Amino acid sequence: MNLLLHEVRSMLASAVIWAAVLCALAGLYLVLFAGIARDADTFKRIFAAYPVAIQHALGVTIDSVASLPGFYTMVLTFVTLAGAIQATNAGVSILSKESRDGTADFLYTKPVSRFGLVSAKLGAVLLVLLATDAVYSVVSGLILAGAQASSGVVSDPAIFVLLNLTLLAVQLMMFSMGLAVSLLFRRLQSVLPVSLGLVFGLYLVGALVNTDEAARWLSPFKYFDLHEITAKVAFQSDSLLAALALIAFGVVAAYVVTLRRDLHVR
Amino acid sequence: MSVIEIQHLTKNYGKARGVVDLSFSVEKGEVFGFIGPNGAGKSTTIRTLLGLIHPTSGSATLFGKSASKNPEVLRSVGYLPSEVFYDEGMKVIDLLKYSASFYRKDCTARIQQLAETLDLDLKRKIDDLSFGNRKKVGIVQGLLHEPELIILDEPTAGLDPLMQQTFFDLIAQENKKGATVLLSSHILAEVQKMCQRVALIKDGRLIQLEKISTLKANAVKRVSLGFQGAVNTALATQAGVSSWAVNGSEASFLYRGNINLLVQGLSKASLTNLSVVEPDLEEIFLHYYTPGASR
Repeated sequence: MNLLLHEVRSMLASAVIWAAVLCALAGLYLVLFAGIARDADTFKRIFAAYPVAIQHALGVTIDSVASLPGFYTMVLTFVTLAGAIQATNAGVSILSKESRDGTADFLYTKPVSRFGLVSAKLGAVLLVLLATDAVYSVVSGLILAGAQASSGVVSDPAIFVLLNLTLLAVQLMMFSMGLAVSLLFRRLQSVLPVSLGLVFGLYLVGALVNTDEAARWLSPFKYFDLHEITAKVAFQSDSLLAALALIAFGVVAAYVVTLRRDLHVR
Repeated sequence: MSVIEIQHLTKNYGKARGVVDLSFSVEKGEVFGFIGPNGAGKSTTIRTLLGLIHPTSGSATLFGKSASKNPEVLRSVGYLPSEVFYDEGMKVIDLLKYSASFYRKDCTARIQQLAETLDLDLKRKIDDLSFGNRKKVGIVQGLLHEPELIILDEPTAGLDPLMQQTFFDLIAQENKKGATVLLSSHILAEVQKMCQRVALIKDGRLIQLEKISTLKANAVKRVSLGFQGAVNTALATQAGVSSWAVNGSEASFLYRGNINLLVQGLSKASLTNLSVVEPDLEEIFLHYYTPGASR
């Protein structure tokens, strides 16, 4: 428990910043919604003029962009991108920290099993991501309620809950990917270039494929079809299973590699 | 049961050698020296003992258990690595409290007492500390839970001579209270001063395991003679004499063997001066580590 709390404390300051960034992104975009809803036809024409790939990258679907859930899927695309950076950064850094900072001699000579160490560290990241998303959900919920009140159109709140849960799912998948990539390095000197490369690389791959193509499984950003979730108010089971498998892959790899790995001095 | 038991320990890093077929044990209450030049395999042995690295073959146990399979055993172990690295953003006191939290006992008074002894400011940030002060944090961190076994890897690097003395007094006190100590070093004077037994390691292999007293008794002695008139060269051919050197009416040589036979040989010479110097560990060490040298 002491290790988990220590890890949570060490991530707290950045988690506050990330939560603020996610909330600010949602806030900035959603204040535009009332205007977009008023001039729906103009905005649809503007978005329709963009190439399809750009529309995908922006998370835009022309038919629904003027409805609040439809507009929110576009907002959530950017929020998810930021959330993914937070999660991937945590994934790349959490187990590589000791070899990078030379603190392995301190931590790994304590009377704690490596299984316990990995569990505490992964648990700490999970807590931080849950807390970030909880703050985001409350704040975005308030903003969405305000947007609905001003536009006069009320949507099923379950849609927004499910959409927000995809943020957590993508974060957990990207965390798992970051974790797995960090295990490939014996000593990872710099976290940010690796995590940013991973996030933007996979985001671009996701922008180039359609959600109905098999290639979508290459990018965690495309595992969940936000428009289908909005239409059916439910997750697709294949998306959930694939997400769980990807998360499990990184977590299992983290345990297997860390339990076997030799820890060297810096 | 030995506190430390190393049996046929081999560790390879790919094709590179770590340690080869190393075996020795350290008994309860002992201060055991572990000597070797850089790269001999001392740290590899210690890191295997602590479960930081896994052996290629053989075993390394603490209190009869492998630290990697039974990390609980590390509750009784205090470790001071040769280089200490900590979370730079933390305050010394917070780091030490965090370290103490792993041992399920209140170490507050002990932390204060050790910090006072070592003149360490607990309120400063790790980031602001000099190398020597970081080492002090390492010492407090290694001793705060009053471990039964203290493992020290090149412990005095970075400490000034006065602080080194304070440190060794501290270790001697812990040993008096019953702690077993494994002291790895290439500074021979400190091993000679502190330890009862010593293992010499070279190229990953154990080349000598001896009581300090035996090691010194069996080692070569440096003899210097001043002759009345010409040097008696017959001495150069006596058994056990090596490195014979003459300078005017003075001669010096290394002698290994029965000291009485040397005295008998010397009695035939007419001397103005005689000195037989007890070798320090440095000389013994050089004798073992000179490339190509063997026992």
